[in-house]
Amino acid sequence: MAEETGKTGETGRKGLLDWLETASLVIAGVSLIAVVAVQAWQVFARYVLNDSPSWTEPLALVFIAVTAMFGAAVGARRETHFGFPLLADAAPAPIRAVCRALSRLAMAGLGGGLSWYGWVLTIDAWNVPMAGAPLPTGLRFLPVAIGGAVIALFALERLVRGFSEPAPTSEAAPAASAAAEAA
Amino acid sequence: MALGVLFAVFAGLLLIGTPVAAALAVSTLIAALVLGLPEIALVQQMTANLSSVSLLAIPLFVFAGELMLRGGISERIISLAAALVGRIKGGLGQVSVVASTLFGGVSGSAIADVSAVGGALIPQMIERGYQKDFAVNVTISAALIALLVPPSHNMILFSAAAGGGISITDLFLAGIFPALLLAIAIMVTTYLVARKRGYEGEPFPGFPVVLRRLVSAIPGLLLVGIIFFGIKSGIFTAIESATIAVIYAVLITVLVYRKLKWADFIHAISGAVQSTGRILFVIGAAGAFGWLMAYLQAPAMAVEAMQAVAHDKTMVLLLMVFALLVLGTFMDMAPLVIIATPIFLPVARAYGVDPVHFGVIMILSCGIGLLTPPVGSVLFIGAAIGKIDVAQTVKGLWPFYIAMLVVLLAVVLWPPLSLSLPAWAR
Repeated sequence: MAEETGKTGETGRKGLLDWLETASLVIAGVSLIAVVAVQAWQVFARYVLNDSPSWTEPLALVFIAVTAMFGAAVGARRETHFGFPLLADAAPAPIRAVCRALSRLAMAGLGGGLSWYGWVLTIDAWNVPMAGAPLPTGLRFLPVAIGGAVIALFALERLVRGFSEPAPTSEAAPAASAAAEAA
Repeated sequence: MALGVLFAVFAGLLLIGTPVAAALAVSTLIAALVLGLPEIALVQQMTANLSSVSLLAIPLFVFAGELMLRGGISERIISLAAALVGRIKGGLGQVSVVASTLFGGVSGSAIADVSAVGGALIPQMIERGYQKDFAVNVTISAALIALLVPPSHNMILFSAAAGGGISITDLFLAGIFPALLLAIAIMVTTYLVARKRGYEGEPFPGFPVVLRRLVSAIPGLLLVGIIFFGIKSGIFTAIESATIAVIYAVLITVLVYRKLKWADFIHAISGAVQSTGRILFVIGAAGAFGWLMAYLQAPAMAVEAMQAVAHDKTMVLLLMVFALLVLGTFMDMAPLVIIATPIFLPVARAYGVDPVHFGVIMILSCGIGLLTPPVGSVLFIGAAIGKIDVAQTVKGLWPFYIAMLVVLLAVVLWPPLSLSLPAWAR
């Protein structure tokens, strides 16, 4: 999966953040499979065992939060999130560079904020039992805390790399391919 | 004041190219700071929306769609469509419309539709001497049908953005007649354009071939029945039905069609988690944005503003359709549905529009935006497959735009087109 990124370091070797991106994809993928497994068990238990378990839904929600946050982190590194970059891309190169830096800063800020407050909520709710499952409620916020930190890290990497890259040219093609991947 | 700050910061960030999720979250945070609200409440809202029960079906249907795209289901459907309608004028174009309708009923995604059907048929059409713009335009127009038929994940998105109170089964049922009307309108348009350009049909392969291809496509097509009747009869919830779609897609593509390899599976899951991240991240941020809008009574203000200019139901619907078509030219469908629904739906309700009817109108209006530059993901994919410039594609797209707008107008003006099937099923 990492080969798809095409962002292995200048030496051609994978850097730490390349590994983190691959790890994020694996975590998100395994979590999605876990959602399928949990939901499948619910159907099996209801129709075959005649016993509808209460823990499946809250657990599926924790797994889907993991998939969403780590999937979003990969999107932050590949810069494939929904956006409208066409107007900024039409601006002169220096303005374009400033717009891009501000956008990455906003993404890093969002990731940082989610991580910080996600962590506060995780700690606050750790001793509160989750409705329907023998798990701490804080677990629902943990993916937000960790995923937010990864998003912030990837966005900061893009921000820092942006300063050393040559002035960006029109991004119409990447924007189109990003849109194509979306939805 | 705070509402002005919210929208001004949001618009400013969008214009400089900030991802929609970050633009939503940062503008909400700044407006909350102006109001003196605690920031942690925004993160709670985001988390609640990011992992809500009503949205669980979306990643699973996206995953199932990815598996079907890579597992040979679309190929069988295209073969069947070719045998059924290939002889009509504009043969392969007609095949594209029927294949999109059938595959849309399995995948529920316009992107999966154009990738699967377009990937196979656009190169074939060009090889047969059809002009590139025609090949692309028929396929991308037909891909919109997938938005209206079950298991359309945009319908689920609309239901979630509306607060989860609108039945997904009703929405799925309400989209079927408009989808069939859209298919007919695109087939007629294809026929007229093909006649003008001199594209003939393909030879009829004979009934034994039709029967053979039907048998081969049935395992894939059965999924439509499982999803549809499972939800409708109440045997499965939408989430369970999406789970079954994933398991069934794996079984069919691995054991029956023997097409899905390990590498395809990895690509399918990689695509699904990235799409899930993009969609749910916007939904999470929009949750906080919507919560603040409700706190500031923005939907009530939108109703008041609309009452000042529109005097009847039709006029208000047409105004909203116009706004959605304009917004759809530069916003992707998922964020547009998520952001516009909490503002437009209360207005529609205030004028007595059925929310299910409004859902179909919204999905079709926003869907047309997928085919319009400067931001139109289905248009970009189609043009990329056909190896043709987007501007050149759009020049030949106007007959199809007209067909889509006529169908949209019919959906707006004639509510029974959407509402009769859900009413009959109850």
